[in-house]
Amino acid sequence: MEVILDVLTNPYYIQVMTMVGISLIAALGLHLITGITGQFSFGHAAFVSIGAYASALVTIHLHLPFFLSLLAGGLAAAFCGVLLGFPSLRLTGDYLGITTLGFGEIVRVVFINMKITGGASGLTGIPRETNIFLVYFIVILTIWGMYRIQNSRFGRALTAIREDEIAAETMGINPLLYKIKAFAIGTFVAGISGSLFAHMMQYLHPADFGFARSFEILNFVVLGGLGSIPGTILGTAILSLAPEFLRFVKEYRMLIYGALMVTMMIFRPNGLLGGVDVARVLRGCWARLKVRRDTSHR
Amino acid sequence: MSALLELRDITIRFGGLVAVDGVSLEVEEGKVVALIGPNGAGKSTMFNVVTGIYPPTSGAVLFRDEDITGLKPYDITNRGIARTFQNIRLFKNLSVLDNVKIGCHCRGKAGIFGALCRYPGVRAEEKGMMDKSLKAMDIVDLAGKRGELAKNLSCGEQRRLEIARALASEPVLLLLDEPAAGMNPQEKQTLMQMVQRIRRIGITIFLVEHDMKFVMSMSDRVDVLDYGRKIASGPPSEVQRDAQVIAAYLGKEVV
Repeated sequence: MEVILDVLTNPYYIQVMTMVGISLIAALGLHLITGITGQFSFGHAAFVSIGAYASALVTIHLHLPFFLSLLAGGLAAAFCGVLLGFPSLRLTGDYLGITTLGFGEIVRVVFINMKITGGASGLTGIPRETNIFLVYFIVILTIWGMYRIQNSRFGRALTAIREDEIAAETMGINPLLYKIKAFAIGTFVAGISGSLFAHMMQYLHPADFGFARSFEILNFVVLGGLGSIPGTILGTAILSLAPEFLRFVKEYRMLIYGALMVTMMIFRPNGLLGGVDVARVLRGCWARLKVRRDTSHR
Repeated sequence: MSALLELRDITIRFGGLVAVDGVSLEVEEGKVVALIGPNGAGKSTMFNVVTGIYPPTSGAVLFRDEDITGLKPYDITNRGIARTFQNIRLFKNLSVLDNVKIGCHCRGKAGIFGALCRYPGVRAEEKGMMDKSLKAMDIVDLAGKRGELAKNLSCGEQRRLEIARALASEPVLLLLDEPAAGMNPQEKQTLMQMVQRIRRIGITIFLVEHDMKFVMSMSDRVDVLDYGRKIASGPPSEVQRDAQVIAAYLGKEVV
């Protein structure tokens, strides 16, 4: 009992779990863009950073309540998302990936060279506002929102674009408009994630939001299974916590991490929960349990 | 009375290749019009121009007396023209029901806000879409397979699903691009009955097909293309006997 309480109140573990929650929010944003709408985005971390810096600067210079800084971060990221999306989302597949990759680098370099963001020494002095309860409240809200979107006329239009853009267009869907809308929501969520991150770490540096971080978030979404919300949750949890659990193997940590990825590629190329309708599986299990319970009562 | 769909002097050039050369034709409301011709005659190209996939190099497309030349596909679908594809463009990883519901998209208006809030208007719209989808699936006898993934259906069922999806958009004019391709004689019989059912609802049908028995028994009028030019037009019995058509296309014993 005491051990459990010790674990639950250990500040290090709380920090790790908070980080997992923050990563999950960003991953859910990318899930909407890449998993549902099928658009490659290799610069997602840039939108996280825009949200982080925007909200941090609003808190530091404008002294507004945290809720407004949070919103400011999300809106700033969404605004940039729409700005980028308007010309780029006309591009297909690889070219969109390259463009978003380039955008990610541009944002990183701009933040390194701006005085207001603290330049190369980073931005300090951000007050601590984030706590684990707030983060998981927002996680639950985001998951709820994503499910609502997925099972709506809007969400169906996005999956149609992913499956076959020409057929979708013939069904009355304006692909560019819907892609931009998906991008806006996805980057808004990324911005919220960034705002939470800024007010937890209390220090921001552009290098934390480079291509490596974008790729990491993409891994969360892809590993779990493209297009699956439970998949994204599982992918984020596993990949964020794996380095923690693998600490005991010290130098071989990254080697084992890589080996895990290769194993995944061989046995589950669509991701852990790729192509798995979790709701259907759960319903099937529940039905079987009920049958077993009913027959054992006789 | 002017025709429902009018194609005026359509020419389509892809670089140096002339796919369609000055073709004019009309589709009258309530009728079934077939477009036939050898492979490469330009039939699907005409369809693509009517549905806005690409604009014609010259000429005009008029629908209900409105010039729709060069409009985007989604604008054209909103105006009441729906189509199926020759090489089946279904949403393969989605269920049959979802495929048809996407067909209903253009008749709804719920957006992001509606998705998140689901106020009564949105819920009513969703119910309406469900009803419309089930009705469309009933016409093509796919209601029993609504949960099946589209990629797991047989070829004939996939073609019927494409038709259901097109019907869900409540079109005035339905364009069928080789609907009987890849079907066995039994499936073709079923398809003919379905087309009759669609016609009885009042939808005008414009189709491209290679199966002569299908075309001749279903159509009110037949237009024949060869190398991008219209070489004959009239009721099936006339076209069947036209010397040019026989020379270009119906060269051997068919029916």
